[in-house]
Amino acid sequence: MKTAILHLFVLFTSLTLDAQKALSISFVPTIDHASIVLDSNYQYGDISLSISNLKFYISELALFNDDTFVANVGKQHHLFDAGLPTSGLISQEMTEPGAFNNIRFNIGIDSLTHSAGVFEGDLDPIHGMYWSWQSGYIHFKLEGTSPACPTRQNKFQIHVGGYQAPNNTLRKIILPVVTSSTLNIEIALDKIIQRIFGQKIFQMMSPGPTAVALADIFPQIFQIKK
Amino acid sequence: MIGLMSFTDIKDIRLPYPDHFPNPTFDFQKTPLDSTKILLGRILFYDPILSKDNSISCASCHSPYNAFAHTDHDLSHGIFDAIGTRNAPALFNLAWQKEFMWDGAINHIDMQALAPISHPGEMGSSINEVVSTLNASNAYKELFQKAFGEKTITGAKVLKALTQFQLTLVSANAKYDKVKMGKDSFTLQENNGYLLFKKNCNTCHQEPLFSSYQFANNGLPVDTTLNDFGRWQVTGQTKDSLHFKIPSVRNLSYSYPYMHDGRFKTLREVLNHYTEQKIPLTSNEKADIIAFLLTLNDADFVFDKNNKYYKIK
Ligand code: HEC
Ligand code: HEC
Repeated sequence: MKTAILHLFVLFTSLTLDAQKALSISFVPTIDHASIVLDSNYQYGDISLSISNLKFYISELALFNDDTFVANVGKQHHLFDAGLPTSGLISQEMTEPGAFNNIRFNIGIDSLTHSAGVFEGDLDPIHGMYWSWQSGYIHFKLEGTSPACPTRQNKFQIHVGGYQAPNNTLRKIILPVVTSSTLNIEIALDKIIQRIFGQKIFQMMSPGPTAVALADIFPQIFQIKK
Repeated sequence: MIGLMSFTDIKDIRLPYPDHFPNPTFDFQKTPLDSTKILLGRILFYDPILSKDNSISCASCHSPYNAFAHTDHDLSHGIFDAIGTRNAPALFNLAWQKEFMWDGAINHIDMQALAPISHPGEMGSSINEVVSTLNASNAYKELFQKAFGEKTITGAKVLKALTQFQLTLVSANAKYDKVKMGKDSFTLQENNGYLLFKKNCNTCHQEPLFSSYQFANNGLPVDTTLNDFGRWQVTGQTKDSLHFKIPSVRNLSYSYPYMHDGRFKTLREVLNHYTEQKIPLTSNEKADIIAFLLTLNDADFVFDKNNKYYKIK
C-alpha cells in the first residue's frame, strides 16, 4: 500500500478544538479548480467531456497528531456521490478531541470488510458499487461521455476496484491540516482525466494492473483548500 | 435431526447437523439463524419476482428435487431462453463453504445472489430493481417487517434472507451418514467401494462433506466451444488454469449431469474419465465405487418439505 504525505515541506502547528465543538469536513470534486456539476460540459485543454457519475468510498476517516490517533470522524465507510450534494459533507461532534495536525482516510474498502458478507447503508449493493460477477466493491467510479471516446454512445466508464494482492486498489491518504473546525478537501480530478484520456482507458471494469496504476494517482488528487 | 426445523417464531435456531460433521465455516455467532428470515428467504428463492420479466426464480435452475441443481441441462437456462456457460451446481451444505461458484469468484454466500439477479442471461434484473419491486408489495413489506423489524426493504436484507434459507439446506442423512451414526451398515460391495474411494478419491472429495472445497484440475480437457479456464480467470495465475471447485459427491443420483459444464450424464462416464486419468480401476472396482457413491444419496434432504416451494399468501 502506498502512503503519500502531501506538502511535507511545510511545518504545521497542531490545533485543538474546543470541547463540544463540531468538526465538519467537506469534499469537493473539481476539474481545473472548478467544482463539478454532473452532466454539464467541460473543456479541459483539448478534451471536452461531461461527467455523469462520480462515486467513491471514503473510509476510516480519522484525526491524527503526527502518528498518534486522536479521533474518528463520521461512519467507518462513507459513500461520496457527486449526485447527492449532502454526501460530500462529513461532520462529527467532538467532545474532547485533543490536538491534531493531520487527517487520514482510505479511498476504498478494506479487505476484511470485502469478504465479510453484505452490509446495510453505504455498503448496500443497491448503490451500484459492488461487482456482481466476482466479489468486490468498486472503490472509485467515474463515468461520463466525451466525443474523444470511440466507445458506444461515446461513454467512458472507469470502475476502480480490487482488494487482493497484487491488485489491491485501496489507497491511504494523509493530509496535513491547519487550524479550523471546517476542513475543505478538494478532489482535483485533472490527473485522473489526463491519465484516462492520455492512455485511452475508456472502459475499466475489473481489477488488474491498469486499475492499480490509476489508484496510485489517488493520493495526489486530494488537497486541503485554503 | 434434519426435518425437525419448523417455521414457528423461534429465533436463533441452531443449524442441524450430525456429530460426524465438522463445524460450519459460516459465522453463526455473528449472523444467527432466525426462522422468520429463513421463511422469507425461502419465499424469495421460489419467487420469479427476482427476475426482469417475472419468469425465472432461483429454483428454476436450482430445483429441490435435484438437490437444488438443474437436471437434464448441461448448461443452465435463464431468462429469454439464454444458455449460460456452466452447469448449475447442487446447493447443500453451503454453511461449510467459503468460496462460491465453480471458480470461487464469489467470496461470501450473501453476495452470491447478486450474480444471477444481475446476469443478463440469467434473471436479467438488478438488485435495485428487485428492491423497488419488493417495496411496492405490501405482502413483502409485512414479511420483511416480521423478519427484520423494519418495513423498508434494502438490498442487504434481501441478500441476508436468501442466505438464511440456503444455509438451512443441510444434506446429512444419506445411508453413509446412518452408517456413521451406527444406524445402518454397508453391504460388502458398498464397503469395498468405500475403501477404494478412500484410496483414490478422498484427497479431493473429502468425507464427510465429500469435498475439501479446494480447487483442482481433475484432468478434463478444455471444451473449446466454451474455453472456460476456471479458477485462473479469478486469480490470474497460470497454475490455476483448468482448476475448478471440487464438488461434493453427495446426491449424485439427483444432480446429473456432472462437471462444471455438465459433460457427463452418467457415473459410469465419470469413472471412465478417472481411469483414463491414471487412476487404475477394474470394471468391478468401478461398479463398487458407484455402489458406494449411491449411499451418498440423501432422500430425506431431497424430499424435505421444509425446503419446498412456499408461496407468499
Ligand atoms: C439461469 C440459471 C440460474 C438461476 C436463475 C440461478 N442460478 Fe445459482 N447458479 C447457476 C449456475 C450456472 C451456477 C454456477 C455459476 C458459476 O460457477 O459461475 C450457480 C451457482 C450458485 C451458487 C454457488 C454454489 C456453489 O457451490 O458454489 C449458489 C449459492 C446459487 N447459485 C444460488 C442461487 C440463488 C440464490 C439464485 C436466485 C437469486 C440463483 N442461484 C439463481 C445457475 C442459476
Ligand atoms: C485431484 C482431485 C480429485 C480427485 C482425486 C478426484 N476428483 Fe472428482 N472431481 C474433482 C474436480 C475438480 C471436479 C470438478 C471438475 C470440473 O467440473 O471441471 C470433480 C468432479 C467429480 C464428479 C462430478 C460431480 C458433480 O456434481 O458434477 C464426480 C462424480 C467425481 N468427481 C467423482 C470422483 C471419484 C469417484 C473419484 C475417485 C475415483 C474422484 N472424483 C477423484 C477433483 C478430484
